[in-house]
Amino acid sequence: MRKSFAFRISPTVTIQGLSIIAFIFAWEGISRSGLIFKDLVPPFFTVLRQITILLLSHDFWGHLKISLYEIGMGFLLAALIGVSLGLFLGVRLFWGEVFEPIILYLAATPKIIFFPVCIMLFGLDAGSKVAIGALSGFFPIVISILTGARELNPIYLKVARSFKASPFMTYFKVYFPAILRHLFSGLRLGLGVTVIGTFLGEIKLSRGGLGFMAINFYNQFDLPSMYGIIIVIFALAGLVNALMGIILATFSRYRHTLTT
Amino acid sequence: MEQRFWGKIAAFGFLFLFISETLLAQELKTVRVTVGQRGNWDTTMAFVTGEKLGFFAQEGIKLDIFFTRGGAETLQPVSTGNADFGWANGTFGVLGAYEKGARIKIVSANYTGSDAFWYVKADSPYKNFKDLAGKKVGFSSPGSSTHLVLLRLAEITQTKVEAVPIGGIPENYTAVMTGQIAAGWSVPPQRLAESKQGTIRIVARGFDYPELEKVTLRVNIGNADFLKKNLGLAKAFFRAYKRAMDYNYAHLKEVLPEFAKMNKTPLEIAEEALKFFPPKALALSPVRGLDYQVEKALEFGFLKKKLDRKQLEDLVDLSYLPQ
Amino acid sequence: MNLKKHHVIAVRGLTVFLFFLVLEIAVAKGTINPLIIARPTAMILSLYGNIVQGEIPKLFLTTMTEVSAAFGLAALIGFLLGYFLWRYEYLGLAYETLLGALFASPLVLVYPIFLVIFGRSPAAVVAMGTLAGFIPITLGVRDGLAQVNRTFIRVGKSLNLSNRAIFWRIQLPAATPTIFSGLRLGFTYTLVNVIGVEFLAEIGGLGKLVSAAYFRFQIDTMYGGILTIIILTGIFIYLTYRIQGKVK
Repeated sequence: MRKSFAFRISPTVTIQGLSIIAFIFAWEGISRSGLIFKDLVPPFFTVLRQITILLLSHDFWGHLKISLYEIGMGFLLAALIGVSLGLFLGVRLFWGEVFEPIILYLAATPKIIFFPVCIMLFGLDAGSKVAIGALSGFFPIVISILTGARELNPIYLKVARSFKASPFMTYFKVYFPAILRHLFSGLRLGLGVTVIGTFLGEIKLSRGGLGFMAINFYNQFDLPSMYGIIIVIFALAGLVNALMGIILATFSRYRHTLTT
Repeated sequence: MEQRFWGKIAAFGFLFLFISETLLAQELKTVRVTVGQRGNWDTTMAFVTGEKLGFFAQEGIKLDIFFTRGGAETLQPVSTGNADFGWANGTFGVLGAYEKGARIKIVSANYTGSDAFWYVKADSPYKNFKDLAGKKVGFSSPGSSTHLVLLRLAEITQTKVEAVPIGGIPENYTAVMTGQIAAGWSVPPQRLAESKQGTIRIVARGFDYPELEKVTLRVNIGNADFLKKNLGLAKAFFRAYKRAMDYNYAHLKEVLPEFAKMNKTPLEIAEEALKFFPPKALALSPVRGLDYQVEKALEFGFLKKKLDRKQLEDLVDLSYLPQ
Repeated sequence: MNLKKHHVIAVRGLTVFLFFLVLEIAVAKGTINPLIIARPTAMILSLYGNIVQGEIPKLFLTTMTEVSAAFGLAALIGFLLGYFLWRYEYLGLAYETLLGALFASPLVLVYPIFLVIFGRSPAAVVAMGTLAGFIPITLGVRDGLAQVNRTFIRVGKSLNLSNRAIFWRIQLPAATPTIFSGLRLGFTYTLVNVIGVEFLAEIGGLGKLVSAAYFRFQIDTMYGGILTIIILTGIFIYLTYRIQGKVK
């Protein structure tokens, strides 16, 4: 590494810092230059101001609660169904082989196109958002378990059988710990896509939640607020992801006690 | 002696009222309504007033309103029974849905005539609608009420324009200001502020053309199964609604500030907007120009076949309106 | 063991068939509301009709055009960016976390901004597709070039090859599998995001069909559209895996 400044800031951080500044300048520049119709890209600090106003408003926290509820329930459903189905298909090798390709191919489809079915089945409010969130998150979770199950050392199973372990014991004491690593990454990914699916559902048709706020601002042509809420949503998604990471890392420590 | 007697009567009276209120409150039946375009005078304000002043509660109704972005979003939930009423639907969409078997009924008119207006950039050479001959003019989507009004305007003024489905009010504004189209549409109070500021110029207002009053472009619908099972409730609903609507017009000074706040516009703009919503335009009946709209719906592919008399009579059911 | 493989395929086919059969009967009998779930035969008939006489070919073409344009742009940006991030190590380190974070973030939620800037046009859809696809490609190019075995480069140098020759003849080919992996991932993300935004904003091709059909009450057409999209994405995933296999 070349020696740089007196404060010994690494070149990496320098570049990152300069990039952020450049980005803000570019934003302000585009906004004020008249290149694009001025209302379309509001000045950076206007957007910042709107974010502050948003976070201080009473409405925002109500909508935040709705979004968090939908994401939470959706992820819970995805995890429950995904893990159960994943374990079943992982253990019953035959059925696993039958269904895995189907699951893999369905996983590639953009889930949001199923949203109208969710609306018709579960209504206009949180139900349809929970459903699309669960549908989105289900696939990474179930696939991760299938992958984990496939990598499972058959010796573990032989050992379990030689101990005359019941199916339940086999599931719990042998499979579960062994696939935990895959499960954790699957849960992480699953939460990520559940978040996306839920917000997209809110944007498409809802009357509450942060996604609803975003599209509402769009319809009202309140673009500074729209940019603002989108930034807030990104921050929230990042936070949720980071939180999940911490929770999983904590559980990861216990994994070792289970498998050794 | 007498004081104590009347005192007891009064106490008893209050207790009775209190208990009955509480019991009544538990007796409130929920009515779910999808409403297109939150904040519009013809779609929202009567509900706001009705809720606030308890008109609906007094009829035993608890309102559950779901605001949509208009058009088909309002219609769909009513058809599947996820909502009981749908407010401010484009008639085309309703006709089409009915033909496909949606269990819906037109229960009242929503807006007869047109509340829309078209505007151009202030620094453009267009002074009135006729100047737009051969130019691109925006509307929302094919078969929508704005589409129909635009075509009617073109017919009435004998001006051939190039109608372009730009989309909603914000998209039209962007398209006009960036020069993609010559004129775009809006509904008050949106864009009135810009008109006052002088950045845009209004070239045509729907309500300036009496010809347009022959057609009810937006209707209110109800779910047919809901209506069949809840005749009394539906009638009560409309009683409360009409009461709220009449109250609004009789107490404009009181209601306009709320209207202005909902639309994030200043009060003067809200007052200006009211001009586009004369009471007669919002009359709940009759539903005008249905035959004309059936023909146009056929032309735009919203209908596969013309609806016959029997179907139209089945579709339109104004019996829930207060006489 | 071939018997077992055929057995698996047979059971898979049978299960799918049974699923649709049960659906068909349930909807026909009215146990499931036909206004909510269409009969599979109705779906397929409507799909067939839509393909032969209807809009699906045109919509399919629109979607594919958008995907191609978006993927092309994403690849262009991805290659350039990936190259620079590899060539200039500090840039690579500096932006590594950012790209990783962006990749995991709900990028698709940015689409209203594109709608505002580009209007309700396919351009907005293409922009979204490009944004979604360029990150995996960038990372693929960068990581691909970075993991080239040092020995290969040393061999090239010992043969007195110019730096440019080493790049084009040794490094790039050696990086190809990883780059292809990035391209495959980028294509998948582009495809999914294009269809997703088409659905959300109701513009463009197949995604628009599903949304429009739902709201205009053509439930059969909607399911036909959903089916088309499932088959389409399935085919593309299969194809891209095959191509990647060949590249190896």
